Amino acid sequence: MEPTDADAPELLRRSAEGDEEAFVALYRRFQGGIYRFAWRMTGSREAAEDVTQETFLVVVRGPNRYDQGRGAFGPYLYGIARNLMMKRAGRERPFTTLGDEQEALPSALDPTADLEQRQAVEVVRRAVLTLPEHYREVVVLAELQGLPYEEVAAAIGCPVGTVRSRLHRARALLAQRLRGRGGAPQWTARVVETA
Amino acid sequence: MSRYRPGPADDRLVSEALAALAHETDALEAPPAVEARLRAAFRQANGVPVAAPSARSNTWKWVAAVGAAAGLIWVAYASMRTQPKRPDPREVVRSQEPEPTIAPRAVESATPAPVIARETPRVQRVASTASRREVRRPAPPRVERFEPLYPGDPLADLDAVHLMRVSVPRSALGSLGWPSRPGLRDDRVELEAMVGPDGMTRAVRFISQ
Repeated sequence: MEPTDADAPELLRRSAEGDEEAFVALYRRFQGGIYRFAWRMTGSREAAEDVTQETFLVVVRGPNRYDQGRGAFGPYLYGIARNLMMKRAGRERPFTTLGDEQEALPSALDPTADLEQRQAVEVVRRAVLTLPEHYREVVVLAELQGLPYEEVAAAIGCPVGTVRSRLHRARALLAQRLRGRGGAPQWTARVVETA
Repeated sequence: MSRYRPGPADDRLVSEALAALAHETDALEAPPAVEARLRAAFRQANGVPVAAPSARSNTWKWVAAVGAAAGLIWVAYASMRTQPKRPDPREVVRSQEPEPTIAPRAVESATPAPVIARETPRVQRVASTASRREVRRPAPPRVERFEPLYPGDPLADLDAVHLMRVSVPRSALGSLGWPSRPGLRDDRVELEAMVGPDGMTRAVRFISQ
């Protein structure tokens, strides 16, 4: 039986006692979300892999740091991953820089997907990556990861109202970029038809 | 510069675009190598060098160990039955010396090599650093085989030995653990001594008696 978010405190407690299988169950429950969050924020598989590993290393080294009274375990992990990405962004080039070296969508995701659709999704992904970081993180967490606003707020450490306002502004920026300079949408004609 | 204000169409556009992106990347997961590295880090943090093996693998290890032990016992038993028993050197001597007057001494307390060196000014070095294989080569028919002065294999743990041909008074055989005849006290016996790198004589064989 797959563990749920509610099982996280118990798995964490067993991990703190040296139960490796409990730690692995905890990792498998949350690694996908953390990896996708990091990948969608950075656009780099290597960075996403590093951030995921470092996030769970924090859990390994300090399993008792998590306070259940301050929120769910998922947002706690997202907060760790976010801080790690901010540190990386501080010592490396900004993740928002887009160029020819930027990684495309992994080709192994859906080999049967229509090529045009994939190209259209790539346009959206690049548009997200060009958002300022504080806008991008709310778009990724709320819109792509599907977290409730309360959990987004807990992860980034701001009020829920701030999350709403940032998201509104971020969506406006995205619409502007996806439409170009007032012209036709660059991708909707393809994606909407196949959706 | 006027601020861009999205309308309902733009809002739908963004929602559909983000939904498509989320759908396309929802299957992404961290590569297995990350889990392997984290497992190693977890074990290190908890002082566990390796993962605890499963009960199944433990069972197979026990079965393999018991099987190997049984095989070794069988091989040892078969080799004991096929190899001829090596005669005890004291028994050999007793058969050649029917009237022993001195009981053989405990060979552990004997220091044969210095005795031989002191009492034999005519020591002739026959061979040096003979290999184990060469020493084990069968002796010529006229010469007796080497008899160990200590229990066990005289060549055990030796990479090289010295063979020394010496001539000693028959009376000196007593210090080596062999009986001597009081009446032949002045006779000399020629023998070859197998001397280890530590100067201790490990075995001797008689050339003439």
